[in-house]
Amino acid sequence: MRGLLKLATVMSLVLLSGCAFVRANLGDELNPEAVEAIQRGVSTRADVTNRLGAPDRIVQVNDHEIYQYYRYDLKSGTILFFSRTNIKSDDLYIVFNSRGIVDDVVFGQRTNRLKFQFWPFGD
Amino acid sequence: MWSSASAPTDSSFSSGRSGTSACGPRDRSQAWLLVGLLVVGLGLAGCPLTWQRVSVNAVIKPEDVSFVVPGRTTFHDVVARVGAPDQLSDSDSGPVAHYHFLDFKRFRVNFGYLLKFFTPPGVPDDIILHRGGAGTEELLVFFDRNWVVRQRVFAHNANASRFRAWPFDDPALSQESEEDKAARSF
Repeated sequence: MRGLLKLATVMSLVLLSGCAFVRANLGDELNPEAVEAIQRGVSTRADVTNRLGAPDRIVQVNDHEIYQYYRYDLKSGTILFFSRTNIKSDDLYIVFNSRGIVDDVVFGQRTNRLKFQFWPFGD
Repeated sequence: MWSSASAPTDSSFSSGRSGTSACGPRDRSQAWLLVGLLVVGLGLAGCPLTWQRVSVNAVIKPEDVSFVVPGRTTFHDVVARVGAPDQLSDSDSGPVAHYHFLDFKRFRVNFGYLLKFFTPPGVPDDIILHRGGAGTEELLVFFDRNWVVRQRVFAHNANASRFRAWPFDDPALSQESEEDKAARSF
């Protein structure tokens, strides 16, 4: 019995020795409730920054000021000689009109579909 | 070999120890099994083959944006179907939405791997072929000043991302040499 236990322990160590699971992220998670609280035609730049903090990027597009918030999430799996790393981003755009009031909110969430995988072939 | 060595031949072996020796045949066979597994494990831990892939965002295929009709589809239609873009920029004729996605593949093989067992420490024993490629792709959607799609364009570099071990072939150079040959033939 003790032999079997030893064998199982060593087998586990052997199989796990070529194994790695890695997780990393850039930026804080964008809180969907905070995003929903931003109201078109009502919220101001100050309301937005109070709820979400300073934007990661400010762009001027089509005569509108746009605040962009983004976040990246990484999941990586390695088993023996196969390795796969998946990275996805969440992007939030808040479009202001010339009076500094929110004109539009566009939120795209991809990280909720991020998976741990190790098999590098196929889609 | 292991199966015959590990088969108990004496009832005293069922306890894992013989009555006369601290290290009986069964213990020895288990020890060899453990050593074998350790060798296999250590061998696989530094294995000579590597397939690695890195994907950034999901690939957007032309059929995914076939619904886009220039002059009719709006920014909100595009966002609803494809998601928020990774970047928004401005152009003379209106906004541009950038969707970035990337597929990186690399393959590595070390033909000198077996030499590790024979070469003394400190002596280089690697014979490595290693090649990788990143297929950076981008979908650009151009809008007019009213946020209606004017045009959509794909940047295609998918062929750069393949599992290949041979690092020496260069299609551009081989094409050039064929052109040189053709030039010489005149």
